[in-house]
Amino acid sequence: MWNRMRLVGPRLARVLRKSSWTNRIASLVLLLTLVAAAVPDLIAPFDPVKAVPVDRMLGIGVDGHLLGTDAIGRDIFSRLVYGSRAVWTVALAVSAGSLLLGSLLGATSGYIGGAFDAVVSRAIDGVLAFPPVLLGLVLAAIAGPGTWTAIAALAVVFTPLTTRVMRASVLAERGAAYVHASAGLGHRPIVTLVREVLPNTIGPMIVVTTLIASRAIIVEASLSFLGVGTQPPQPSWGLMAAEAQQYIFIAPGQVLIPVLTLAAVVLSLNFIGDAMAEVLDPESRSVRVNTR
Amino acid sequence: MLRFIVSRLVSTVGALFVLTVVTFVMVRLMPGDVVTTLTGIENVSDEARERITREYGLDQPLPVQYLRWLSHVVQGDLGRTALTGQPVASVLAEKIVPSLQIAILAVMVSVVVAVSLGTLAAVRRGRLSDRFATLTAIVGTSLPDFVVGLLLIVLLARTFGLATFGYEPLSEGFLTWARHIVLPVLALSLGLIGLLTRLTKTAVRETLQQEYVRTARSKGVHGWRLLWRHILRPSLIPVITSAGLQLVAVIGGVVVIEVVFSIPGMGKLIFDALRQRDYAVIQAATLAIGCVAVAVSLLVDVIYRQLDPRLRR
Amino acid sequence: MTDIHGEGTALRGATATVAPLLSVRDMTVVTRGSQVPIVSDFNLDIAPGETVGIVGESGCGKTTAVLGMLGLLDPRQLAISGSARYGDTDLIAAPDTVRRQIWGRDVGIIYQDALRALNPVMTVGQQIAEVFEAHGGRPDAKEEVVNLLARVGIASPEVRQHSYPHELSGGMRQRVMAAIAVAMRPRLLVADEPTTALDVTIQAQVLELIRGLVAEMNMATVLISHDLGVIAGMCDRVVVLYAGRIVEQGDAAAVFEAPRHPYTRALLRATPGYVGKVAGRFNFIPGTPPAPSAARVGCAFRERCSEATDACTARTPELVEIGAGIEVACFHPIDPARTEDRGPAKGSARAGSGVVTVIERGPAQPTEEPQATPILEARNVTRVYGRRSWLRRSAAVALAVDGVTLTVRAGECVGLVGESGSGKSTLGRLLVGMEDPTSGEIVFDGRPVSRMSGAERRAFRRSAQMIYQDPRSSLNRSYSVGSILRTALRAGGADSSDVDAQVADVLERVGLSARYAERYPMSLSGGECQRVAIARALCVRPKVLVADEAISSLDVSVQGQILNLLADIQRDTGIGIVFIAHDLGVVRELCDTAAVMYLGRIVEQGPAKDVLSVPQHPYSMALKSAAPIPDPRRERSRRRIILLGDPPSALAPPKGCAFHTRCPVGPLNHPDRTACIDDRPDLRSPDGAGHAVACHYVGSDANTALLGQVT
Repeated sequence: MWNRMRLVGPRLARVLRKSSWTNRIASLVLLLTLVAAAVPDLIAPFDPVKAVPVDRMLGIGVDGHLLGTDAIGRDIFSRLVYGSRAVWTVALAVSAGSLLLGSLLGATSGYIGGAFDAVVSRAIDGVLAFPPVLLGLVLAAIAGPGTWTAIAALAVVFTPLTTRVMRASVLAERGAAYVHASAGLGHRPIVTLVREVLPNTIGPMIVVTTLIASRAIIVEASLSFLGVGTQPPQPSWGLMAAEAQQYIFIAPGQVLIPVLTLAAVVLSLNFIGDAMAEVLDPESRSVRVNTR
Repeated sequence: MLRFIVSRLVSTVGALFVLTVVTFVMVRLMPGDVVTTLTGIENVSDEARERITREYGLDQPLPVQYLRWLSHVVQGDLGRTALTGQPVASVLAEKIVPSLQIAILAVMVSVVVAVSLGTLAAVRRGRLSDRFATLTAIVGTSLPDFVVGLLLIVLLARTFGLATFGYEPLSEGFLTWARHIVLPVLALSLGLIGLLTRLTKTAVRETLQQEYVRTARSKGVHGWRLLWRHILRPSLIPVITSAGLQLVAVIGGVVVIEVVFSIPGMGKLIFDALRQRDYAVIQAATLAIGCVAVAVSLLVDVIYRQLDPRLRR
Repeated sequence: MTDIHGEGTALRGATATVAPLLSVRDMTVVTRGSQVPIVSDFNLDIAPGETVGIVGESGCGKTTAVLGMLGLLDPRQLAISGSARYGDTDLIAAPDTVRRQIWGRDVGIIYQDALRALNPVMTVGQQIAEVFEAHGGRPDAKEEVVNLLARVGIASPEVRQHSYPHELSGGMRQRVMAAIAVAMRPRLLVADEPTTALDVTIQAQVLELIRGLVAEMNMATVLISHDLGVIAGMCDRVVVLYAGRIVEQGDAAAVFEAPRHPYTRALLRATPGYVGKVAGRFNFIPGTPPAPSAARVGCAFRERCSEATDACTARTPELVEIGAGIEVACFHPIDPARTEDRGPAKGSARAGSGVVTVIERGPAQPTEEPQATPILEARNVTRVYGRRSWLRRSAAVALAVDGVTLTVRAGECVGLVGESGSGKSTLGRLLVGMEDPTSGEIVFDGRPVSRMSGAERRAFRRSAQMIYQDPRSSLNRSYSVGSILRTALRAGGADSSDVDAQVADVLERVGLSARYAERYPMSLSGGECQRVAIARALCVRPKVLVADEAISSLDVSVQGQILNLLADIQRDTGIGIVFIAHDLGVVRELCDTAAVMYLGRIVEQGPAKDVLSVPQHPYSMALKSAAPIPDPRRERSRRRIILLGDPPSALAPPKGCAFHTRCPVGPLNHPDRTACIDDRPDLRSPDGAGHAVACHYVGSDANTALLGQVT
């Protein structure tokens, strides 16, 4: 295992040095938003939640408000910073959840095959066809709206993606001679699966997980817009855009700012995902199955 | 082929059955007093409660309730909406029209644009058309639907005199209908275009590497014949499979778009129903959507098998 | 009906002074990005009606050279300079509108892998008709398609034309490719490894077809192959490529009999059938064929050459005519008058060149008699693969191995010969315990495997190791060589205190230096990967090694290295070896005993030299006859046994003798031989000397006459 890390190290260094400007900017964007998500209180100058009616609808740069204030006087920049936390919580939780679940399901399904595999594949196809927004709405109706409802809904909808990729990788490797050779050394099947097959699945899995992270951010924004994601007064970029919808002709910036931030993060994730595919698994040709 | 359709229909019925059961159970799981939810009245009198309980069979065990509902459905009675008391079936019939129009138009536009852009990008690799197509794809896939809707409203509505609110049926005149439907269709399309363009580009690029393209060239085949028979047709197979899956995801987009543009379609219907716990509508709408999803899936499978003779044995 | 034909075609002399059909001058192909030369300074004239063979190993650039001279390379990835004149047109520089008139009409191409070269969503009939459509169409296109299919030997052509490529067998697909290529009676036919992916008896059919078409339509032909036997049988002239350059060129008979370039000579010697083992060792060329890399000065072959001097590093040798139409690019061409040095190739890397050496051992001592005790046995094993489906009541079952008995003794090398579908690989998997037989027993050290406990079975799997056909696939790309070997050593219960020393030890035993432990499989050549695979097998101290086509995917110049290694290991440790292959020549030289398999059954077995030099079973005879011999005079004049049609499917094996549907002396040609249809023949040895044959009519006049036709 450590030997493989040694292989990644020099390759990573090479990639960083040869990175295009887009990749470098993308990394920077992700880094900044992650820092904002981790320690928002250190960065945001104002309270993101408390309404200050006196200061409503101030323009950019007025009174120390970097990006102005919204309709009830909250500093937009501070809300943006705190909003990063909501967005990244969803993205990371959904990614981690679907990665874990998908790996387990996909690996066992691909390796064992047979009836188990058939059942799992059918279930996956069924769930895959379900629109995430709809599931979010339904779950919200049952369990109440909120960030964790959104996370649960998205994890369910995106797990089929990771399952599929893992299953496909495992199936592809299962026929390889080195897998048979491992059995020939007397290893039990579980040992062969973990030691021989899994390391070769890491590349595609990481790629699909970055994809899921970016998808999760977008859908969470839609869910917040519909009122079933992050609940006010907590900020989330999608929610900020939704709340500013009515002022779109008077103060378009209030919609555009969170939207552009969102787009920037999503784009950065996509670029980094592509770059990682180069590093980890240069032979991968992942067919992206996107959902909304 | 027939055998395939039949076997698929069989598994379809199974899937539909599971779907109805799941929605049925899920609706019953929603918090709150059932009677209140069904009637919309906060404090129900005891006799009214008793009457309603009898009418809906709420005191029966769940499987019985389910069978009652199912038997009604088969007869075409989908219950009544709690809001207005109208029969759900007629409400659905009315609301499905705008949603279908928007969805189908969006799909048509997207497919035409995306396949053209994607093919162009793959064939003229690295040139302007490639970059343009890639840019479109990126923009389309990194913005949530409602954002696209809002942006279109800001950018285009005033300039072109397009409506940003509501829906007018064709009977009111083509221009009126068009003014109201253009923005929603565009908003929905952009995301789809982004996705499909990228898919098409990858698929075509891979096909271009295939040996049989070289064989065709070495026979003297060129031009449109080469493009369609040897490049596009084989490429479409993976594109259609993926696209088929995406079509169902369009449903999610429809919900958001209808909310943004206040269109009285299925999406808005189900959105309101979920908020207001209108059981009958939720159940019926979910069933309707499920049926559509399954039908689309079946259609895609049939087309796919028709296109790829390797699957036909 | 089975036919025996294949009369030789006369060799043509040196080409007369007729205007060449295609004239290539100074063609050089370089990759666009990294400027890596794939082909350099390629010059060739093809006279009308002449057959030119282009020979070389993997990476030598032969396909690129030929595609380049036809103008079919992708200009976005490869930069090509030089000219290739066909009539008034320069195929390299002319625009597509001009070239596509020539493509398909004047030039026809048969590609290597028809499954990839044919469009999977069009019928074969449509793809043939397309050639006509692309050149203005013809009113009788439909009939002509059927005629062409019939001409290339496809049965029921009116029906078959509506088939898709994946519905046809490999041999049939290649025939379709041939039909497409000759549809418009081109003046030039190009065949790029047309039979490489096919079984040897099918290869013989397809080569026969191509010979016939060339003669009938009087086409000039360019044949690309790495198989010198195939080249010998078809070509008037030979061009030898190495690292993208022509190193020798000339009349086929002359080049084969007296090669002038050291590479050509070494390549011929390493080819089975050219010359036998020398001092008990297989011939090979040390090192590996070079991968295309940045241009270097000097002869590319110098690191593997026995004649190399400093001059070979200083300048790149040019192609020079040294008489009688033969051109060589070498500073030390071989003088055919000198007595040939027939010893094994001297040394490997030159001192100080920094190449990590592969250690070769000296000639072998005579092998001892294999001991009598069997280590591993297959007793009447049958392996069936079932396909059950809900909708159909009767299950479709494939009979992969049918009642086979085989014994492997310590120190013995057993050869298993057969084509695809013969069941030899399945038998190999059964022998190492990868799969279980449907009936019958695998017995290891006297104990039946089916009655072993879990732990005992795992121990058995360690004792019977397999070497796989694809060396790259048999090593996990995520782990280093050292890591792979350490895992194997631990699995074999080795003491973990001096693991590194043990790794170095086992690497040395397979001829690799200890520095290989840090390398990753991606950076190794095919031959080196196979050595590592063998090392891994040795780590668990097996008693039997099953080599399943272990050298088939390696270059000819490297195969000998692995064969010598296997022979050495057997001599040193006394393990038993099962060598599965389709190449009779190799098996005859390597193995003590051999068994020939057809459709899951053993049809002949006995001492390797007997079975494969003087086969008694009609199928074995056909197999031997089909193998091309790298000797132009013999290859072009001998008669061959050509089997008709494809082997029957394992889903529906014929009753009685499995071979009777294609047997040259069976019921098809001798209707009185009904026993072949009714009774399945047992393996019987007529003289009791250990050479057993499963045929009802062994030793009969017809069978003996058939043998007489096999050279």
